[in-house]
Amino acid sequence: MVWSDARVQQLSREFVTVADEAYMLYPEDEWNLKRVADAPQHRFFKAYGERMPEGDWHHPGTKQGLYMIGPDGEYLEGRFAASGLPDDITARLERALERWQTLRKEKGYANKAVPRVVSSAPPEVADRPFVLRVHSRDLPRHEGQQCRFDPARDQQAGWMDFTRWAWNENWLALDDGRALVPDADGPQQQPVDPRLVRRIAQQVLIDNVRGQAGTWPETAVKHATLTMERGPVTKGRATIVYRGEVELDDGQRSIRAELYGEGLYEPKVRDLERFELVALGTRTGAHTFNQRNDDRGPAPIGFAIVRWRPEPLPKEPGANVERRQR
Amino acid sequence: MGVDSIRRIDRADRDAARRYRVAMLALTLALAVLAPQQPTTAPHPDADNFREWLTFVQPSTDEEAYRTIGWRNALWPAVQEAQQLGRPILLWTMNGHPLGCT
Repeated sequence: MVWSDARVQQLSREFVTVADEAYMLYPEDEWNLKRVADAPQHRFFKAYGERMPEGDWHHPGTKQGLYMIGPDGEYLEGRFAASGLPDDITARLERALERWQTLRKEKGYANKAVPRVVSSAPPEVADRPFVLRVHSRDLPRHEGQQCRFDPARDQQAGWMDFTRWAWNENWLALDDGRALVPDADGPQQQPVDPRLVRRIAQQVLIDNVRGQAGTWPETAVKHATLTMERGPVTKGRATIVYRGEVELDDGQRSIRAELYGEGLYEPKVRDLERFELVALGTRTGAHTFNQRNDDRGPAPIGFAIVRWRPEPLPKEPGANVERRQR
Repeated sequence: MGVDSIRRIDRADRDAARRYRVAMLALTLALAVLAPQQPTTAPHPDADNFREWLTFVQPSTDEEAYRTIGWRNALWPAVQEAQQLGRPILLWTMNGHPLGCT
């Protein structure tokens, strides 16, 4: 709703835009706070926060929000738990840029053009050679239910209405994708390494549709199988069909799902060029912050798991374009 | 108590019981109409429907509009870049990385 607004997108280009995890920047528990105390990003963020007007910085408490910050940590605008309304964010961005005009002249900041960048992945997976991007969404519970954001209906929806269209994502990095490619000398249908299947199930087949939930403990994996079947080679590429089942249950929550997917493999370069898998099934229960206490199921849920590669850089003549990630 | 009285009481009891059963049936039907619909069984993925479900679960372009902004994924390198450019920073921060699971 906010980021799709054209004016917000336009104004954001005046900034060095960055997304980062609030709890790692400014933890709310003592142990983690001590751990990051000397980290430059924490010190920078903390110093900025202490310059914010009362009410806009939430301490103690969550630091989730949107913040507009000068290069040396100067306050420009911002708020914890900033609203999801484009008009409010637009107003904050505009005020920030007005203050910036004054600040940059006072301090002699160069104000050079900000390079266009493409959004990346979380830093722990972004540079890994084989990355799976996982999306989760509720499946329809009755005929005609869309489970998607409808601008006509939802543009001005209230905060808790997000459950109508909620989806989330998760990431998993592997050392390489060859574990998902059948051995050329083996039978046509082969099992995917059970350790990998269990790892996928434990770490990303998680009901986080409405919010974070923990990974599954080892003991929760009651069943996790995936087979891969070689198809014909066409123009130097071989198709692969995946089929499987998972059953996860830790006593508080469960997921039972069937898996089906397709891959495209280039034997010459040993590259799993494309990997796409869906897991469709039934979930029950609730866990940590996934906001299912009033919706414990059983209810249908779906996952889409695909190989992710960094998005192509936008093609603009003369543009100073870079990919910025840690 | 006379026999006629007992018969009237018996009839009254049967009438009451019948009215009760009718009322309970009406209530049951009303609840069936008004109660939340039971979730459908999850579909079985296969070659014919897999791509349709893949598209259904994945976010649409509109739902992923946030990615068009161009987000760096860590604050400190962004701060260093901003200092080198002499430009302000727009920080979006959530519990769970905004580019990951939130």
